[in-house]
Amino acid sequence: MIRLVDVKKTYKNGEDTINAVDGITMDIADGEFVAIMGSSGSGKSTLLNIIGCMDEMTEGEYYLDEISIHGKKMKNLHKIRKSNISFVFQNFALMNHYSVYENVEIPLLANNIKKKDRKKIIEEKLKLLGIYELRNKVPTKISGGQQQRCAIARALVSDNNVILADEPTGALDKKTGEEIISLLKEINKKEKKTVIVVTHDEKVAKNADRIIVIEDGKIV
Amino acid sequence: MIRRNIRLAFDALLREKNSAANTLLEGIALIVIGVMIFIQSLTYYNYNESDKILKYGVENSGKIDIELSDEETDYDALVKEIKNIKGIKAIGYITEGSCDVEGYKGDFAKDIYELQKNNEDIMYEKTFGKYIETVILNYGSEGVINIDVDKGYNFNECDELLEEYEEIIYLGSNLSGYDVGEVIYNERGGKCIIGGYLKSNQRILIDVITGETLSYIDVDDRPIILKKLNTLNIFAVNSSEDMEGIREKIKILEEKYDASITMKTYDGIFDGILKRNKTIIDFFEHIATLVILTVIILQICMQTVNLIENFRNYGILYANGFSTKDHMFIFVVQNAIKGIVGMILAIGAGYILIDLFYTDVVYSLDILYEVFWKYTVWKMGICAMLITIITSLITIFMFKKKSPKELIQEN
Repeated sequence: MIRLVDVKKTYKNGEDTINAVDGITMDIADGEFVAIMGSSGSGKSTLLNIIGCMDEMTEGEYYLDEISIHGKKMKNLHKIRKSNISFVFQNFALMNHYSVYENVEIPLLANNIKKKDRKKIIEEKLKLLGIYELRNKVPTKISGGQQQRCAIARALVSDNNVILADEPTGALDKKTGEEIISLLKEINKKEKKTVIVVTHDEKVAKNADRIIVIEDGKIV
Repeated sequence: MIRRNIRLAFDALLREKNSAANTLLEGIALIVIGVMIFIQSLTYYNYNESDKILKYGVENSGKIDIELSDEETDYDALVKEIKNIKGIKAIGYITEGSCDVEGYKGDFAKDIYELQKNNEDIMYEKTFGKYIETVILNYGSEGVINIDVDKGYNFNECDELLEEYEEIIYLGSNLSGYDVGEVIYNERGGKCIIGGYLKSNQRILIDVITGETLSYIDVDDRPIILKKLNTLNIFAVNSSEDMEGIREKIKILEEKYDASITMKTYDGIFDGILKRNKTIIDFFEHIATLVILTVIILQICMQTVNLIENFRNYGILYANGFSTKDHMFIFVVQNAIKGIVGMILAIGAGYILIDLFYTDVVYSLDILYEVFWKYTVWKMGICAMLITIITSLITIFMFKKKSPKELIQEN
């Protein structure tokens, strides 16, 4: 379960102070599919980065499965990410000099999984996502949809309970975007993963169990 | 975990943008640094090695020149008086020589010719025929220089031998095939004896070359011909304090024999060389230091930029559970590998450059390689380590300032 209590994130821009996230309190239950919607600059991506331990909050409390995240220093949050949270980014965030196989391998390397076991897990996920035959290609040689499938496969291999997707269909055409959202929905239902998607697209958000709308850093 | 991080460092080096080019740049930077250090080192090497070659060091050894105003002067008597001056520890004559292959009866010189022919450092053939390179030593000179016999007669056993034999021939360690005590005959029919073999890797100081530097040669490939000569060109004294007294006595002899006798310690000669060239030497030292510092700073900047260019990749690793410590390890390993590869390239290039630009006017090739290994390579290594450490520190500092989100967004 994810619990946020009065979470705030402020930035200083010269003399101005910007409240990117301005006192958000919310709970997300295990296995929920939540969409966080809002216009550009509403603070939705910042909120996702805080949930994903990719950014520090300025104030507030954050509990992930009863673990208190707000007390931890940034340099120690990699352990939380490694064991609990996986990401899918709008721009796919794949390493262009690594093949599809090697990109998917990254979280397993972080967890020091043995080579034999890594191979088994990676091949299983590549086949699940229909990109097994692309395993030796580099990201620049495959389509956007295939790259996003690769990113989702990477998110699945470490078997983390929480998958965070920041505008996962933002760089894709409509048809491919629908395929990706369906995939995420299927993962949520079959594997009981908590999926949180940030989007500005209503059609994407309609797939979620719950929609949270953010405006000016606050839940509307 | 270490193996995993080393693998990631290698992957980054082999596959990331501009990594290969940066590694090559590291090699070029170290070559430039190496050339500057090498040229600077030649001066120190000259002084240090000369000091080692001389039994009593550069301060207590030197060069002596005698010029007679009158050909009638009894030169031998003058030399005898100089040798007897109190305070003179040893006095003698050393010179590089060459001998026609036909100069010794039998196959002696022909055998040496065949061996020396393979050594590019020695001129084995001159305009007028085939020659072997020799060193001429008059008895007593071994008191000035450090030269050791490996097997055969020690030098202090040669006084009596030189009553019977015209020459005692010591062979350098690379020569072989002749027994100690074997008798051979020179072109004048003079009886010579093989005195023994010298220890390997020895050098003999030859002369001041054009007033610019002292020169020495390796003797491993040469026969050293010991004779009783009455010619002088080197000396050694008990201590530099004795020189004043010795100079007074030399003045008396100059008047007595109407001769000009110059005695200069090698320390004084080096001083003179440095003073004459002080402006050039100082100028070069400043330029060399400036170039080395500039190259190091430039290289640190370029390597840091190369790592920062690829921060996005490290952000992806960070987002997927790799720690700051993992990244620090990867940066250090990457920079260290670049440094090692750069050193290998620079050492290889150093060998090629020395070979390309070598002339035998002052130094032998072996001596240049020795300067390279003894004085240059380890300093290049320190520069490479400095570049590695500072680059890693700067990169880690900049990396830690950013969150994973900011890193992934880096272009």
